[in-house]
Amino acid sequence: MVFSSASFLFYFLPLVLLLYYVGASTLKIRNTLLLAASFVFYAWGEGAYTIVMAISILANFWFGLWVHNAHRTSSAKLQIGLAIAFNITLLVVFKYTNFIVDNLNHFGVIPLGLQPIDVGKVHLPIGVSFFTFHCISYLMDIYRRQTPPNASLGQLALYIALFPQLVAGPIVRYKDIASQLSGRTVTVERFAYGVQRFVTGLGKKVLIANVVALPADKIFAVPADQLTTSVAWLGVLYYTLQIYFDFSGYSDMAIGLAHMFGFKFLENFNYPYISRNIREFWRRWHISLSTWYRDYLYIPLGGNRCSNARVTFNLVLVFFLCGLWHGASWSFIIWGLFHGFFLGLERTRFGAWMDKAWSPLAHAYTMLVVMVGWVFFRAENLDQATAFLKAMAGLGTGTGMEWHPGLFINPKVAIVLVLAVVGSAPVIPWLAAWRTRMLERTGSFFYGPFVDALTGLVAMPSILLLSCMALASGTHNPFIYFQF
Amino acid sequence: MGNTANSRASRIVAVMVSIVFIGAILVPVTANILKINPEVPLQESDTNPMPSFSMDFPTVGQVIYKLRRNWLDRNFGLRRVLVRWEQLLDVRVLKASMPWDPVLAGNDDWLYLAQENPQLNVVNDWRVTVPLTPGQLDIWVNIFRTRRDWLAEKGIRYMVVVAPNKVSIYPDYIPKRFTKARPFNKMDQMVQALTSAGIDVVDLRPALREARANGTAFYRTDSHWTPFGAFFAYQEIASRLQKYFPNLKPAPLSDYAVGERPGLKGGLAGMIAMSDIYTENVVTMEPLSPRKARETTGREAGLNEFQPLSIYENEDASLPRTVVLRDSFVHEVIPFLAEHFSRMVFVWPFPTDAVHVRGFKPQIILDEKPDIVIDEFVERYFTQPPPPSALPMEQ
Repeated sequence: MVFSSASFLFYFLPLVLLLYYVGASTLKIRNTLLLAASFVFYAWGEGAYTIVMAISILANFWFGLWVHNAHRTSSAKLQIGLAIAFNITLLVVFKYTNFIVDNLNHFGVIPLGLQPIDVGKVHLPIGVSFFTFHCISYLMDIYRRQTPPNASLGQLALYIALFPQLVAGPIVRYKDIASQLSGRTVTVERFAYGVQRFVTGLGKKVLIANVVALPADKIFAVPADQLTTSVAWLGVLYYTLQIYFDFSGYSDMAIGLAHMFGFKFLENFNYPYISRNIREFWRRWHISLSTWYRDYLYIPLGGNRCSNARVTFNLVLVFFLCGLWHGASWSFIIWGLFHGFFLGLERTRFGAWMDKAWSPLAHAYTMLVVMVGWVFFRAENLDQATAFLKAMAGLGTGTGMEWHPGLFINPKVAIVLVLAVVGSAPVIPWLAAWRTRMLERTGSFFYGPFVDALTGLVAMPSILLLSCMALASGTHNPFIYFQF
Repeated sequence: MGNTANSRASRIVAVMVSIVFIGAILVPVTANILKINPEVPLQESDTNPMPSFSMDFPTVGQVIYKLRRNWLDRNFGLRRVLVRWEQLLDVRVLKASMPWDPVLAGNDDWLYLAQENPQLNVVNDWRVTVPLTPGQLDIWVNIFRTRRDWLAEKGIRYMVVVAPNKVSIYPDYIPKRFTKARPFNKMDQMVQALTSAGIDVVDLRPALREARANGTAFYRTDSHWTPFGAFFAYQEIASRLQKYFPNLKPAPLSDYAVGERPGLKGGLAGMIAMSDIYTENVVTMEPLSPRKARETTGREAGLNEFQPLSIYENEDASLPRTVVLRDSFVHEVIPFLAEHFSRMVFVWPFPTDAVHVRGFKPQIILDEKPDIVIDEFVERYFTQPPPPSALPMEQ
């Protein structure tokens, strides 16, 4: 089930809210209800594969206790090693088996003249990358003695399966949410804030990401020999906006839903497209993933406290794995290595020079790297990515007769494009800060409840209505990040 | 106003925001319960109907399966109203209709079928973004040649008739930015390739352009030709049949009274939920003398056929017999053409798609022993790249 669907919005969510606030009187009942709802939410799409998540929860509940108990007599390295190996194995089996076998066949088995290995198509359970990382976070926090294991299987299951973050994040750390599992309150202001975050995210997904996704998909479907420079750049621009509004919209919805049920998730995006360099970009993009890698992989590898060569190696390794986490294909690996390369490069004089560079130049450099990277991320394969990049560099063979930019734009797309570009900059936080300053200075009703009413009772219902209209009408609704 | 008053007012706003949101997400269920279902002129097929509920295990399983397979997403309360509003916003307000939509809204309220299915985009076909390759043409020629030769062995003649896409006759209402990529199109390629192979192909584009010059050849809000356009198509087909049946004389236009009456339910307007906005008259062709051909009982549609097999007969047994493999365009031609055959059997097999070549129905042909088989296609099915499984004859 996806948040931006009628089944979620008009059936699942009202029913769960009703049962949660009317039918459940204690926290224990509310947790049980949320857990049951989360399993229904997952099983709605994944059916029998829900068992994979259930096994992961049971195993990690036991691993957590095992690691904790082992601390009494040892460093628990063996226990944490085996527990993490279990989780990584689960991920590899379901996500990477086909990729590994295909490459074994391509580079080893077939060249040797042997019969290719055939394991069939292994189903990828939605969200397996996310709940596996949740589980590793839980185990590592126990191993580092930052938190005790949860003695309640139900509470741990709720942490892993909680539906707002289950299938596409953000990756919530156990230690950040542990106390909320055993006690939380929701005020009406907080519930209303959750509603507004959810509706904002829905609008970002449905009214912006989905609108630019259509021409982006059409451009990425243009035959390689018919691509022109302008069309290729337009396609990458659309996709750059699509992926940001799609994923940050999903995160907004997740954070909003969490607030409605009394949970607080950390922010996952902070206007990444205003970054001046790739280091800053990764501090602003998919923050829960980049900090996960930082805390559980980069720092244990030595972080910044080693030689320059070793730090660069660590960065490239981390981003190789980051690319691989996003998908089992060489395109994602290259995307990760591409970012790792620029992060390494920025540790040289180039980085220092860029830091002092004229601001528009630094932004242009960052966006160029990010957009070129998105080509690898979006393309079906390396051949398509190469053809696309060639076209972007002015080396395409298209004449513009078959495909020209005018075919991929209309008044609606143009309006959304402007809104998306403006919305990629922190205009709303600037306005909010200005409004707060004015309210503090004047104490005026206008800067207080009036603006609240304007946003909450005019803008939000309008966004919700427009989103529902688009949902009713459209069928193009898969979330990009569900495949990860 | 003081801080306390502002805080109280902000709290009231928060309560109202929460109530409005919960109220809004409850509207569809409430509409379902209260059976509030305003009439919306939206034409769509239900590909996932819910079975009648009963408390047996298979039925419950099927209901759950249907619910999980987007049934709720397509059947929530007031959905059709929201679809209508979105179409009004996109098509009428923002002028955002595009060729990747099922229907392209052109200039002066002309509607065009565009993205019929994931593999078939009529507007892109017309723009000729990807012409047919020589290899693809060879496969098609081989298929039609095989059909012709198989029929010739049995003494049966074969004629391929192609009804043009609306956009081929009325391209001038397509917005200017959707430019043609090439000066020829796939229909030109196919007609030339088949003609060179000695296959009798009737290209109806010139006849329909003549119809356009004299009246309304295609409906503005539907993908089909009008009876007036169909009459010109009939005249061309009948003229071409004369070489096989010299006594077959096409009827003149003066045998009919051409008229109009309000009330057309244009299929394309229905697809965008606006048949009340995109209104159009029905074109009528009333015969001035009584018809001789009569429709007789058909039979149920078989596997891979759309509609019941219909049969027209004429008392004059000296007239030829024919089997017509048809699609929807033949409908308006039947009253004209049936006058010239003693028995006319219509079969409507599934159209060519990305997987299948349209069926040829050899058994029906063998049973009917016609003098001629007319294989009619609309241009958009005629000019598809052959599917990988393309075989020369239905197996």
